[in-house]
Amino acid sequence: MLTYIIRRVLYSIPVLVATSFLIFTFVSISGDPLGRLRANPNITQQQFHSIEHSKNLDRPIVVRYGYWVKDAVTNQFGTTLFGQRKIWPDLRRVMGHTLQFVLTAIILSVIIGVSIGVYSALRQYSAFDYATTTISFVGFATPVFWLALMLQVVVVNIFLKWHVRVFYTSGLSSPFPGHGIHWFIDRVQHLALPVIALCILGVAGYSRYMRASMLEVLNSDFVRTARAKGLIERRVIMKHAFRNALIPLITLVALDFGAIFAGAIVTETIFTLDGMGFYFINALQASDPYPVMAWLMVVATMVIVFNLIADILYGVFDPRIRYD
Amino acid sequence: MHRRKLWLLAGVVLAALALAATGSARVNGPASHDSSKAGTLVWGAEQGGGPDWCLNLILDIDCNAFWNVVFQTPVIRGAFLFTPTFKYKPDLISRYVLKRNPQRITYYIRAKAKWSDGVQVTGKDFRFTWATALNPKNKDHIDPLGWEDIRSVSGNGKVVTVTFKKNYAPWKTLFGYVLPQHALQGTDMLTVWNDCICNPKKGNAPIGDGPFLLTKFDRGSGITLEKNTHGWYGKPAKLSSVVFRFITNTNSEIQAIRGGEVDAIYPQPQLALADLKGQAGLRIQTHLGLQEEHIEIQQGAKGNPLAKQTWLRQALITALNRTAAAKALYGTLNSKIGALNSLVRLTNEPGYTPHFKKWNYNVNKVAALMKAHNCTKGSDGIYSCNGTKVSFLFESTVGNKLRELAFTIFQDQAAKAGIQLKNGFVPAGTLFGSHLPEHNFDLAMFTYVLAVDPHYNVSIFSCGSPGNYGEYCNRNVTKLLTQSDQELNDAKRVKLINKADTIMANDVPQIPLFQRATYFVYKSNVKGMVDNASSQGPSWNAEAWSKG
Repeated sequence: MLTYIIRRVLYSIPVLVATSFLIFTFVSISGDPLGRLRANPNITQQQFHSIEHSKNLDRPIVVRYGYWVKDAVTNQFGTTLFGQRKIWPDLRRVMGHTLQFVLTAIILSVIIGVSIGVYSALRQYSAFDYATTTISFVGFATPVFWLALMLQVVVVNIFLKWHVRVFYTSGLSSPFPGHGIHWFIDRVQHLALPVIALCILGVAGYSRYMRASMLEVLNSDFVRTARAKGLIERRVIMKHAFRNALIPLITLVALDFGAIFAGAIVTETIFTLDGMGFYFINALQASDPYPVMAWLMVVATMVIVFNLIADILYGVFDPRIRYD
Repeated sequence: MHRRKLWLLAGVVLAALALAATGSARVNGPASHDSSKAGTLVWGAEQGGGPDWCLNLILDIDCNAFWNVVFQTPVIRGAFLFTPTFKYKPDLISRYVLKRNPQRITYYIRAKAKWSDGVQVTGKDFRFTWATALNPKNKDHIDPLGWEDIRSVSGNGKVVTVTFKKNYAPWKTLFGYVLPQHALQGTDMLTVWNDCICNPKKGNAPIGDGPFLLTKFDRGSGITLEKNTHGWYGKPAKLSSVVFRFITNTNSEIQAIRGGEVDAIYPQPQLALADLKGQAGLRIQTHLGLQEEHIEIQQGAKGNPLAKQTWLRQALITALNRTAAAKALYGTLNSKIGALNSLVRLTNEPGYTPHFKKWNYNVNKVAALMKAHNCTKGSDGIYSCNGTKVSFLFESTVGNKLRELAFTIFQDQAAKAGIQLKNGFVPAGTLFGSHLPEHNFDLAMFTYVLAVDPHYNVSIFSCGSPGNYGEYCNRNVTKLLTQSDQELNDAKRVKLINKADTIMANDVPQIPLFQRATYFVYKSNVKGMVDNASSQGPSWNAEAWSKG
């Protein structure tokens, strides 16, 4: 197993290097970080070239990539193009915020999705099964941005009609959220809508997956054997079927976590959450390649790490799988 | 039994969620206003807090953004303030004396003008600000325009004299942001005020000379201003704090003001805002702002060769019903909006003269012009002149719904007059990053964010100037505009630029369309809010705000 892990890590390094170069190239050619200067009629050509030169933007992409790598390795991703702000402290801050709401969304999605999936499998073709199947497909089909906007409108309409503030429509917290339990409740009220928006998609997916996995396991030989042995149905379901049906879902959740950690860009933009996605959009709009690159490297690393975790977990939970 | 346990567990989980969610639900008001912070006004700010965002406004290349001015006007004052009537009002100074030959301005700093740590605002601060602007270390971060025309800044007390090397008419734009010399001398101006407006020599304590101090900058979340309890030269602020929450999505802004999560918003005008008009408990102010929407016409080698002809450009402007377009686009937001008829002044600026009014929409006039120049209509209804089709690629920024609608309107109007406009919308980065600076377009519709001072005309319309994307060149216009930049008498200056505009009204180097409206929405229990459509923004009188 250790050999396998080391091998995977070593394979990841050239992948990361190649990814970083490709992304740097595409980001650099897709936008002009000095665009707003070009649009300023008061900036002379001489000033413009001087600024371009001072930020190495007149160098070939390969040279600029080299500067970036040096900064990334020796200076924690360096500083932004304008403002000279250190990138890593900001990235660390937004990662923490995204973790709060993504983790909550995934945990809730898994709990609810698994529950629905298991019950649907046990009551296959029942009214509950049909209802949850329909709702799942609606959940899949609903765009997250639309859902987010509708949630905002619904919450505001509730406030306007009944003057009760249930949840907030944007931001991570109120201007003066207080401390302790007050801070916690305020944070929950702010994160509720983005979590619901992500959950709906997550529950739809996990419930379908769990249902399919559970049905496959329920029809397998070892479950039939367990029943034949005289075990009570609850024990058959929970101890034998459910545990085995959960294995592929664990790996799916691990893979999803890596992807969703990229920050649920749309959700964070609509709810103006100071997270990874919002950070990425701001940096992209400013056409500043350096924070964009830092963001992409963090996300790429997370995806690689969680892919590895998913593979390892699969081997841990399924003794039939061996890595060498 | 097992099923009952499951239902019980589910019920407990749901109850816990409901409790957490509604635990501090407030009746009749947002929980965003902690009762211990009575007198807090919360804004929804459309910009702010990105990774590049810096606060130090003296670094105007790096940090110049409209919302930065809004955040800091109540904190760091300047010699002059732009009022809602687009006039300069002495702010940090009580008066000034202007002398000529050479140009010398003596500023009389207010006796009560002081920094929050008790140090008086003096000529040292003015001199330090000037020196910072010209410091070679800052040259790629500060536009030296104007600063480099100053020969000396003398006076260490409340009287400071600024002597110029040559006449510089836009002198009032200088010292719009005066730095505290005692706090910032010897620091790295490129980083010292990235995250705060503070005194690094006193443990980064907030510093300012206005009614508020910037006490917190939560990058990605918001900015908090708290009342300057040390006093400033104006009336004390009525509010204890002002919070600017970054809400960069306009739809979210709308929901936030509807739901009472914020007390005021100042969004870019969009059709969706019209829904707020009917909502009880909200007030709306809208004025014509400093953003001038216009169509640039390329007269250089990379444009349609027909555009080099003055008569063709005259035909083009006559083929567009600018008033109808303005009303269609912005009429629901601001009923006063109409066509802009000057390239050098905005409708609410002193000296505005509608020289372009003669180019009213007139299809027959277009036909007459075309006929006079031997142009013939093809089977598709579009004119051709000496083998060249009167067809233009019309560029603007993709994804902007109002611009796309504007194009659709103009395309239809022009087609009726026999001129073809083809959709050439591109991403903003492409338009501003390459097509405009490389003069590689036929027609381009975009917005100039102008200043109150008319100096910008020199850059936009002078022959060979970097801002002259359309390669327009009229030596008389260039001469008049250059002269206006050295004319210290405001009335004479306006006369010079209007003379230039008269010539341009005939040459039609650009087509002025309309001024975009500001849209200021706030709760009706908030008092003292007065929109300022100039670049100063709505926080110009923050000390007068209060909540009923």
